Amino acid sequence: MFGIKLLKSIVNILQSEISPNQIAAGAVVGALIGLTPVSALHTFVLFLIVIMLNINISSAILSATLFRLIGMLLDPISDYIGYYLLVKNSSFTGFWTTLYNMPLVPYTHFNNTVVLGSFVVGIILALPIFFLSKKLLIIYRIRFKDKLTKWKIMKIFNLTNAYNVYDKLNK
Amino acid sequence: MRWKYFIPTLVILSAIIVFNIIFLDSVLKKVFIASGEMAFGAKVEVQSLKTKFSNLSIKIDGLQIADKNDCWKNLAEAKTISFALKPLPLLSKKFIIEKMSVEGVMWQTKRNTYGQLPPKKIKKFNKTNKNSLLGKLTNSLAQKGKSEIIQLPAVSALSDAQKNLENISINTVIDPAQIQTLKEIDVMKADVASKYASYQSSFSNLNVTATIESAKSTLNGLSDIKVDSLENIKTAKEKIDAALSAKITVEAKLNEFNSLKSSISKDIVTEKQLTEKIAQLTNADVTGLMDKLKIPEVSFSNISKALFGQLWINRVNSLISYVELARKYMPPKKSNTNIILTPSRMNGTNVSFPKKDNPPDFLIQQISLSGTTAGPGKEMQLGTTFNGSILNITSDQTLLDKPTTFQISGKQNSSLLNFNGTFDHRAYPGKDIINATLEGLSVDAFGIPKSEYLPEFSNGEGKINASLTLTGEEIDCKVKVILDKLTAKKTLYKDNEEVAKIIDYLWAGISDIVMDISATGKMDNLKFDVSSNLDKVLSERLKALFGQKITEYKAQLTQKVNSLIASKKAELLEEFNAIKNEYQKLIDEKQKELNTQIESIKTQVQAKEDEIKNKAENEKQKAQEELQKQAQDKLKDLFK
Repeated sequence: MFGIKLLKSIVNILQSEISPNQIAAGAVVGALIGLTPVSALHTFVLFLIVIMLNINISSAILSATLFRLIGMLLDPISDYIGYYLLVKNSSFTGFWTTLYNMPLVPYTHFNNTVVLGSFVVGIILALPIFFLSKKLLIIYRIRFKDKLTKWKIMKIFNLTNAYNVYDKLNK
Repeated sequence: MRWKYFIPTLVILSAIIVFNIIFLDSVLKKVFIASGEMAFGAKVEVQSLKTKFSNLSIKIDGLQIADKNDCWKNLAEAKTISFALKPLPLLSKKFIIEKMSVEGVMWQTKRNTYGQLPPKKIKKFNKTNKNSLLGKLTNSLAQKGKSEIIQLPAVSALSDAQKNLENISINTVIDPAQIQTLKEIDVMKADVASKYASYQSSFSNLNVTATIESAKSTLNGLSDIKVDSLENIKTAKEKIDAALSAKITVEAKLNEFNSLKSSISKDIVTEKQLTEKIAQLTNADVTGLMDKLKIPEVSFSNISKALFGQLWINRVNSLISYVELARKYMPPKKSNTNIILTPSRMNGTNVSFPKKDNPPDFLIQQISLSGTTAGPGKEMQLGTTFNGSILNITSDQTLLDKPTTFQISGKQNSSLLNFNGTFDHRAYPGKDIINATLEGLSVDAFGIPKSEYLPEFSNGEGKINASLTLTGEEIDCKVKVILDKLTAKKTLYKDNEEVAKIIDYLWAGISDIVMDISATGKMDNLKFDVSSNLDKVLSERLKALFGQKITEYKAQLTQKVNSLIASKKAELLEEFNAIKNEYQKLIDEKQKELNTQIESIKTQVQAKEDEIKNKAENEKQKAQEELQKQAQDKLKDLFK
C-alpha cells in the first residue's frame, strides 16, 4: 500500500506543471528534514520554510519520507561524522561551546553525534540533490512525459480523488 | 512567499500550543512516572501534577515510589513536591531550580497495591542497570550472604533431639566384634613379638660368642707360657701381641654391638607409647560408637550472623542502591576535558560543552525536606519528625565545583536521627559517603527479623551508628547496633511448651544486644562479618542443651570399651614386658661378656708383661752379680 502511494506521489509530481526549481528545492529541504533522526528545533524551522516559501510541499514530503529511510542506513556514517566533528576534532570545540551555551540553539540537538552528522550529510548532499532532481525532471518532461500520459495507469491515477485534491492544491 | 499559508500555519501552531498547555500536566505526569519507574525499578504513582506558566512552577502531590525488593511497601513517599524553573537558562536548555520543597516524606510505608512493574518494564530496567558496578557489588554482597550465612536448625528439631537423647541406650550400640581396639591389640602383640625376634636375630648375627671364645683361646695360650728363661720371653711376647690383637677384635665387636643396640633402641616402643596408642584407639572407638547413637551435631558458631546477617545485607544493599542512583544520574568525570559524553536515548551520543561560569545543564541548588519516621503500616504510632536539606544535585559537579551533600536530622523526646552524606563525583572514580545515627529506636522500629530463635520483645531501645563509604567499587561499611533494656515476651511458642522452654532458657538474663556489622573490600574480595555478644552466650547455651548428656554418654562408652579391652591390654603389656626383659637380659649379658673379656685380656697381658719385666730384671741382676764376682776374683789375683 505504502509502495503504491509512494509511486503515485512520484508520478503526480512528475506529471505536474510545477517549476523544476520549486520541486528540487522541496527535495533538498525534505532531505534535510528526513535525514535528521529526531524532531528538533531546526526540523521545525525547515518545516516553516517549506510552508512559507514557494517550495513544492509534495516533493518535500516525498523527499523527507525517502531520506528518512536512507537516513536510517546512513546513521553509522552520520554518527562517525558527528563524533569526529564534536569530539575528535578539537578545533571546533570553542565554536560548539559557544553554540551550546547560546539561547535556543541547544534545542536543535546539534550536540548529538547522529543529529549533527546527518545534518552535515544533508548539507553536503543539498546541491547535488537540487541539481540532480532538477535535471532529471527536465529530462523526464522533455522526453517521457507525453508518452507516459498515454499509459493506462496514468489515466487511473488521474481519476483518483487524491490526485484531484493534489492537483487542486498545486494550482 | 506563500502568505496565504501564514494564517493557517499560525492557527495550527496555536492549536498545538493550546493543546499542549491543556494536556501538559498529564503529559508531564506520564513522563515523570516513566522516568521514576526507570530510575527505581518499581511502580511510581503521582496523585496530581500541576504546572503554572506564570512562574514556571510545578507542584506534585501524593508521590509514592514502591520498593522493588518488597513491592507491598513504598521505598519513599512524599505529600507535596514543589519547585520552579528559572526561565532564562531554560532558553539555553538548562534546567535550573533554586529551591525545591519536599514535604511529608515517609519511608517503608505500607502500600495498598502491589508495586511491581510489568515484566516488559522490569526487563528494560534490568537491561539498563545490570552492568553498573554497584549493581554487581550488591549482587556480590547478596551472594556472600547466601554462601556464608548458616541456616540454624528449627528449634522444634532441637527439642525433639533433646527428647531423643534422653531415650538412648548405649548397650545397643556396643558390639565387641566391632571394637577396633581389640583387633589392634592382637596386631600389636604379634608386632612386638616379631620385632623382638628380629632384634635377637640381628644380635646373633654379630657372632659375639665366637669372638669371645677366640679371644679366650688366645688368652689361654698366653697364660700357659711360663717366663723362666730368656727364650720363653720371646715366645711370651709373641703371645702378648696375639692377645692384644684379640683385644682389638673384641673391642671392635663391642663397638659393633653398641651401635646395633643404639639403632634398635630407636625402634623399640615403650610401654608408655603402647598405652597411648591403645588410648587413641579407644577414643576412636568411642567416637564411632557416639556416631551410632545419632546425637544431633549442630554448628552454633556465629549465631548473630545467622540471625541478623540477611537483614543487614539488605540494609547495606539499600544504601548502595541510593549511591547507585546518584552515580547513574551524576556520573563521575573520567577525564579532565570539558566535554561530557552521555549515551543518548535516540541513536548516537550526546556531547555536552559546559562553559565556565555558566550553570550546568541541570541543577537543583537546594531541596528542603521534611517528614516523619512514622507512617502507614508501621507499628509505631508517633514517629520522629525530621527536616533537612539536599544541596547541589547537578548533572556536572565538576563545572559547579561542589559535591552533592545532604543533611537530615530530627529529635523527639529520646528519639534522635541524623543522616548526612556526600556524593563527590568531581573526579573519577568518585567517593560517596553516607553516615547515619539513630537513637531511641523502639524495638518495632528497629525491625528485628522473625526467627524461631528470637523471642518477641515487648520493651527495648535501639541505637544505630552506621557509615558507608564507596570509593569506586570499593565498599567500606561499618555499623554498630546497640539494643538494650530488652524484655522478651513469652507468647510466641505458647502452644509448644518444649520450644518455649528452650527459647526461655536461651534468652534468660539477656537484656542487651551489641552487634558490629562490617562489609569491606572490592566486589571480588568482599568481606562481610557480623559479630555480637550473643555469639558466645547463645552458642554456649545451645551446646549445653546437649552437652551434659553427651558427656555422660561419652564417659559411659569409654568405661565400657576400657573394660572390654582391659584383659587384652594387660596381656599385651605383660607379654611386652617379658620379651623386653629377656631381650634386655641377653643384651646385658653379651655386653658384660665382651667387657669382661677385654678386661681379662688387659689384665693377663699386663701380668705377663710384668712377669717378663721381672724376669729380665732378675737376669740383669744375676749378670751384674756374676760380673762383680768375676771382677773381685780378678782383683784378688792382682794383689796376691
